[in-house]
Amino acid sequence: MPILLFAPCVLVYAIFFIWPQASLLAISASSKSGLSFDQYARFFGDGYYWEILGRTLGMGIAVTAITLVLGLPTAYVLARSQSRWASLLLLLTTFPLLVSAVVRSFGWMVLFFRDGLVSRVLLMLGLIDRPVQTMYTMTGVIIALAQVLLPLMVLTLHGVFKSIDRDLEYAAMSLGARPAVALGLVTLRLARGGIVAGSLLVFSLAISAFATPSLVGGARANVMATAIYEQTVELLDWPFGAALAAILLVVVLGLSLAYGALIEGRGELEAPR
Amino acid sequence: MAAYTPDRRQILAALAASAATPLAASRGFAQAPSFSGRKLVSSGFGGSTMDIIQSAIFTPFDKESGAASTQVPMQSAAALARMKAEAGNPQIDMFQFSGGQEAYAKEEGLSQPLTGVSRLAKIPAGLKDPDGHWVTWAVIAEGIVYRKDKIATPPTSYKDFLKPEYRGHVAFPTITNGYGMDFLVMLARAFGGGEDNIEPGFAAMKQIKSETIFKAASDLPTLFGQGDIWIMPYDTGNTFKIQQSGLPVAFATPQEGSPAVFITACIAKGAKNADVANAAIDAMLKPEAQIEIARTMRWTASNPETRLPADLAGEVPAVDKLAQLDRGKINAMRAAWTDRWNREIAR
Amino acid sequence: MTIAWRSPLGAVLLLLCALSFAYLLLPILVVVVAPFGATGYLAFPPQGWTLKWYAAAVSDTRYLAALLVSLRIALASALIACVIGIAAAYALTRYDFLGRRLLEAIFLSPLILPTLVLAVGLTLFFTRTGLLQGSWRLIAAHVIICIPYVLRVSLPVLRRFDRSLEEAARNLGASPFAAFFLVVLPVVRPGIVAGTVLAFITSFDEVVLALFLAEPGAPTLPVTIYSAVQLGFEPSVAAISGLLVLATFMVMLLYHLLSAFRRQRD
Repeated sequence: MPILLFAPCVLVYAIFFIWPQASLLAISASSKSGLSFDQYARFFGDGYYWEILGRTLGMGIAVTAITLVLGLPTAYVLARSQSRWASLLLLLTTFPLLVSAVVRSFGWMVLFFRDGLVSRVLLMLGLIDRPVQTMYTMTGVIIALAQVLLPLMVLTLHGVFKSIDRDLEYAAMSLGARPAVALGLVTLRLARGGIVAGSLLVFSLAISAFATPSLVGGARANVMATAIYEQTVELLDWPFGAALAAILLVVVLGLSLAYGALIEGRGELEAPR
Repeated sequence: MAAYTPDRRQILAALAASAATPLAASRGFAQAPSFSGRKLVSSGFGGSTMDIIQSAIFTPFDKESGAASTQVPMQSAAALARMKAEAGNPQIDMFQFSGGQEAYAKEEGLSQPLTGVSRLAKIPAGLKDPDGHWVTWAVIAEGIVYRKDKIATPPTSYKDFLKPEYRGHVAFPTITNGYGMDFLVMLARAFGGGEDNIEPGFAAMKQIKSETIFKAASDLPTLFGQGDIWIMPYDTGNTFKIQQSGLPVAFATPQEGSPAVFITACIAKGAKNADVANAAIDAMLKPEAQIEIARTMRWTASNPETRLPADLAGEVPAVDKLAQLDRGKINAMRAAWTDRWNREIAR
Repeated sequence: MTIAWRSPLGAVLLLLCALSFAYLLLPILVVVVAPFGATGYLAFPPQGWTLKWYAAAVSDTRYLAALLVSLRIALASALIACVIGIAAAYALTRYDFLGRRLLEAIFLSPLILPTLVLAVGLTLFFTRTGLLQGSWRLIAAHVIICIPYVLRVSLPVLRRFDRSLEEAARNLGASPFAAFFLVVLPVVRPGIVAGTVLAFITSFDEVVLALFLAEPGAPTLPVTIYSAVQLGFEPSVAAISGLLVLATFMVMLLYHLLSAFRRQRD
């Protein structure tokens, strides 16, 4: 039974994912004289690439944090709201995903340039004393990425909050817990799986995103995805491009497994059965 | 594209120009083989540029030959990557490049020699591959684009980008945008270096490294409109486009010369419709087609037999007036200079 | 109601929620409103007033053709990914075995790879093997990036599902299939729907794979938009996205009002 359920997925992955990517990986670890790890040595022996990897992970963490801080309350309010507009509002959160990444970036460009709305509003409020440009900066990339990934966080958490019996919250409060404590201890703990899933989803997408860092970040926001694009498309250095991709994949898979095991693993021991 | 509808005088001028070469024109027509029921897939530059090329070149070609041509939108670098990935079994028959990618394609054995392109012989040697793998069918002139209302006296040199009064209002493209590479080379030339001695180029660029660096031509109108940018290195075609979007910009030819950018065509090795592609490339070299391209996009003709109408001739620089960059040397140094640029300029 | 929205905690939650919506929707507002401006570049607030960019977007038949291609590919990809993904997700949560975590990680890993890497790998693969033709190449690629979404969203919901309900159904004589469709599915449906919707949107908005793998002559909407701005941006491109947003909003509102009306009648 389990084998039959897995079979289609495994088959599709084996043909259209593992096989093509493994052959690409083989390109990164081969030279004319056979097996070679020159491409990997080139990466790890150069502080410049460490910097890019660090910037990429930092961006992923910042984006995940923003989407969590905003996504948790939003998903919770929408899941617990009695309003009949709640479902419409939930769908409304997906709107950023409807706008093509290219066009979305042009929207940000209008807001982020020196004569743009953000700069003008900040000036008006007296928060800055001369125009600022957020366009072509890492800050701009993080703001733009968090906006388009926030819907994913909200959708993931909403499903989980909905599936948590609100009677548990009643129970906690009727036992004397303050609402904040009930929310923190009961609901958030039960939603742990969703929080992990949402964070990993957002984090993975943030660090592999190409369009937004490229269009909003310009030349200075070099992250792994833009470096891979540069090597693969602009310079046609496929071995190095594939090596960069492999490094990114291994680092992130490692982090995800550790993060998942840390939070879910501990949870399984305590989880009510 | 209603704004581009030619008036009668221009049509007459175009007709006169084609009449000047009656032999070539009539021979080309007489020899045009029938490709009815055949397909041609070409890479294209996307957007309005692709539309204009479709209506100026492929639509008349299809009408004449019976073929059905489509362009697949891809900018040059991505097109070359796809050409390489599909080597041996290409989905796209014919490629259009704007950044010197045709040389790489030939070197890697991705392209095949053109055959039966009757007008190839008319194209000057500098504008085609000696082995006939690619041909330039249009040329773009690079130079300085600036805001007329902010900069009163037109800039005259690449050295002007360093002027203190423009500080904070300069923009230039990143090195992986072909124009960014040319800007580096021209800065080097302006300060006594060149393709063989890039050092002065990097030294000059370091002085403006904190200015705005952008990636794609799509940002241009917004940069001039909302980004408070007064001056940048770009080309005649985009100046024309930005002017049409209602911004007061002008093009200046620097004293170091306007670098020439070749718009080339080549055929993928193993292309299923190579014969159709050869005929289409021949059609691209027609004087009538090249006049149409000059009028709608301000791209310079590559066929010396093309006679531009007087009103256009003033606005489109002639090929022999443009600075020629050593594309072979630049291609050879591309990876090294890109790496250095990433570390020294973009950081 | 567990938390009074008027309590301090409730107010903070509502405030953050409102902030989220402003953050999510302001850039969309720019994209919808800016093309009404008369300038040949986007400006916000718009300068002048014109309908010409929206008119240009509507009258360009290429965008409509591309939209149909995108809808077809996104629908096929999302449905395939949904069926395959839910089956795998169900198995992942019901059975424990050696390497379960690793298998799960592998299933999710296409999310981490930049799509460009997938695109180059797949293009090389299709060229060498000659496998699949036409739009199926792109659909296969999109299925690979859609399955992780289906998994990510449905896994936590399936894990939270009370297994005793399913066991009770089995004890009452339901077949495994009947138990799944009658007991499990209704409860976890929100998660499955969310995952499928996400998969659909992902395929619908994906540009890099489509650039490399789309059938020549049938580009998707994102490819058409992406290539339209390569050599210069025109507000009509933003108007396309604006139209899409407005149309989706109308459909959603209509659906919502209709279902509210039906509920009231019942």
